[in-house]
Amino acid sequence: MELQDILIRIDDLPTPDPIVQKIVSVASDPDASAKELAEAIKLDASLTVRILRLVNSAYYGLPRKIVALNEAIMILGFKTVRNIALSIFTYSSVLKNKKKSNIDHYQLWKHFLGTAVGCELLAQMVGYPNKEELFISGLLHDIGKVALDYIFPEAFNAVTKLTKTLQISFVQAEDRLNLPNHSIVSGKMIERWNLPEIVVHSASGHHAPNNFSDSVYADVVAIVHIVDFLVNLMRYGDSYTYGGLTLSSFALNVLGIKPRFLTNLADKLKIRLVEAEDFLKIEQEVS
Amino acid sequence: MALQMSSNRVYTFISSFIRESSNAKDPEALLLSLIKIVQKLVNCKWVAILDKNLMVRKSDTDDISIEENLHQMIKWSAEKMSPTSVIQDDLTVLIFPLVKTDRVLGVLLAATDEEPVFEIFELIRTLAFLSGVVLENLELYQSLEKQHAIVEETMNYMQQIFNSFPQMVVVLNSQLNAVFANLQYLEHERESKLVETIQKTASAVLTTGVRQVNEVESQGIFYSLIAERVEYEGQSQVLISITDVTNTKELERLKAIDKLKTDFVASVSHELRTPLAAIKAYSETLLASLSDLDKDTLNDFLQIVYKESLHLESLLDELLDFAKIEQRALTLEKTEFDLTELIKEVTQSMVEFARSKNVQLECETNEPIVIFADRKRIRQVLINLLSNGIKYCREDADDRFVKVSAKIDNKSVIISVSDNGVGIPQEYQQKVFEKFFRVGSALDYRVEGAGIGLTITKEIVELHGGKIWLQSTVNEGSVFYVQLPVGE
Repeated sequence: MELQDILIRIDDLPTPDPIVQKIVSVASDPDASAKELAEAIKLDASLTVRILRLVNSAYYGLPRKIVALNEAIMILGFKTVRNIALSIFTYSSVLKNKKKSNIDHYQLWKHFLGTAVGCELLAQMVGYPNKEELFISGLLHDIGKVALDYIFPEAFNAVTKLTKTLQISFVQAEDRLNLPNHSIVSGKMIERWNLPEIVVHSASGHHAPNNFSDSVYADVVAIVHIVDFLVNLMRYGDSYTYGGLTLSSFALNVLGIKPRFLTNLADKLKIRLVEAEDFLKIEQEVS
Repeated sequence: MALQMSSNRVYTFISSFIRESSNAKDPEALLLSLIKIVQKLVNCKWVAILDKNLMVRKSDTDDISIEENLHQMIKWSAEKMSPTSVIQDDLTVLIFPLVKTDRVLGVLLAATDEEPVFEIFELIRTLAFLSGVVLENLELYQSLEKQHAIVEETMNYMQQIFNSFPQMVVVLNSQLNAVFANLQYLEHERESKLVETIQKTASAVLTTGVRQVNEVESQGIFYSLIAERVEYEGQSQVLISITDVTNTKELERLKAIDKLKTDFVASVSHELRTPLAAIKAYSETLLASLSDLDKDTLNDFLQIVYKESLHLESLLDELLDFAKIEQRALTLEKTEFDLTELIKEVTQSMVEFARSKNVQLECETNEPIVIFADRKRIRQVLINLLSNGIKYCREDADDRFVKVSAKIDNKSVIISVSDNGVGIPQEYQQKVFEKFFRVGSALDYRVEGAGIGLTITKEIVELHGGKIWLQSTVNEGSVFYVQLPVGE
């Protein structure tokens, strides 16, 4: 199977609805104001409710309850609110796959969320100012796996069988089955959703940080790579990778951190993941 | 309405902020330029910077009220290290934590009645981030400076301690340059003899690696040096402490004098006892057997008694003179007289004594030499020198002699008394003029005398404004020279 075979059918994949697309585009517009973003979100009442739910979740730990969208945008910022909207969209994309599939979508979502939270945390710990973009990078880095599950659920099943029995990584299994690399597919999808380049590259490069040594995205790719490795190691959720993953020392060098630093990151991440639990049950909250 | 700006302006802002922040010498200057640039970016009612305890550190307006609600949000923003904005009293307060990696160094607050667009918000956020980095560097620099000041103060403190030492303390590096010195050393560092000795001792320590002790006299003061190797930054250096031991030396000298005095008393007692014993014994004999003695024997006995009493008298005269010298009470009674005549007179009077020792006494002067001096004292000088010459004759020499001569040299007269006696060893040649000194032990009874003759002689000569010195070779003889001014 070639990458083209997936890309041809990319239209079959869930795409962000017009409202989420609008949110994404407003959040990327340098001249946009909080009011504009609020107007865009308000068009979808259930989205508004879900966003406000998450805004008031333990993850953001605000000192008081926020009831107005406008205020939520002001306090948390455009990008964070965009992140929440995209989380809600991604959640439904992953979990609402009604096609015949044997995988546990909840566990996959958990891996997405864990990586998102971890990326934002690591960005903050290494002093990277634009930490909100890293949340999205982490959230969507494996979205290519969802595409495979949508388009070729049988192929996805074959991959999971292979990774489980041989204790290898998802990428290694893809290679053996001649499947296109899921991280490349992730990149293509994110590109189509008009998300910033930083998200595109950090997702598509997360299994090959060494290829980005000359790129301005070397550090963000490194962040996603390290956190993906760590979240797999912590067995938070399930990315259907059961071994064969290696931590790139190049990625550690780019960020100027020592392996010892990862213990510290893991400890903090555990706390943040508890605070992020509301993101795991977005649907239940509403229904 | 929302503020908008071209990317060109964004670069201009960033450039001017970078210029200002890199010029900032201290955190306050940096914070001031941050406030200024935020004011330029957004039309602000007020801008403030809080410290890490969230207290106002710097602001462009005096009374800034931070309500509880706002304070809560500031706290949240700092904890989450996320910038935010809150509405308070119709103003939008933008909150940007100043963060360096995982630490919050302060918070930037900007209150505006405009609604800032996303880009402005992002730009200020970037500036706040940059400020965090610069701020930390400046604070590190300041703490470094503070530490430097502490080190300097410690240095001063140590210097004060070292300055309070009575000793000189100096540390030399391997090139023998002083790298540390206390005040006492600096006061003496121009004394070349002292510094040379210090450097010599230091290089001995550097080559041997062993502690060295040395002594030196500089400008009349005796110093004792102790040099020890010290390590500094992997380099060998030498710590030298220099102590003034003059007082210790003086004490040693006084102790020596004290011992000489004790010896002197012993020797004088002995000297006095010898003639006294003779006088006593002969007088007793005379008293006991006056009628039995014939005239010749009687005469002989009385001669002895008379001679011994003269000897006793001369000893007492010497002691008296010495006492006068000690009390600085010796005075001169100068008259004009012929020195040659005096020399002849003295030689004549000592012929008998010389003959008893088998010594040929010769006077080599005939021309009259008129000088203005104390005749009695000069006579004493001549007697002393001649009798010494005779006394210290060499017993195994065949033709023993003592020669005396005098000649005019410019405005002074030089008297020389030479002998072919035992001579004086080199090391004693200066000491013979010292009080109580006799070559060999003071308790050597073979030669009579109190050991103060030459001291008195020297004193008399010097009182006349003259000099006395000697040349001598052991077993060959000595020549004493006396130089006296001719006088008026």
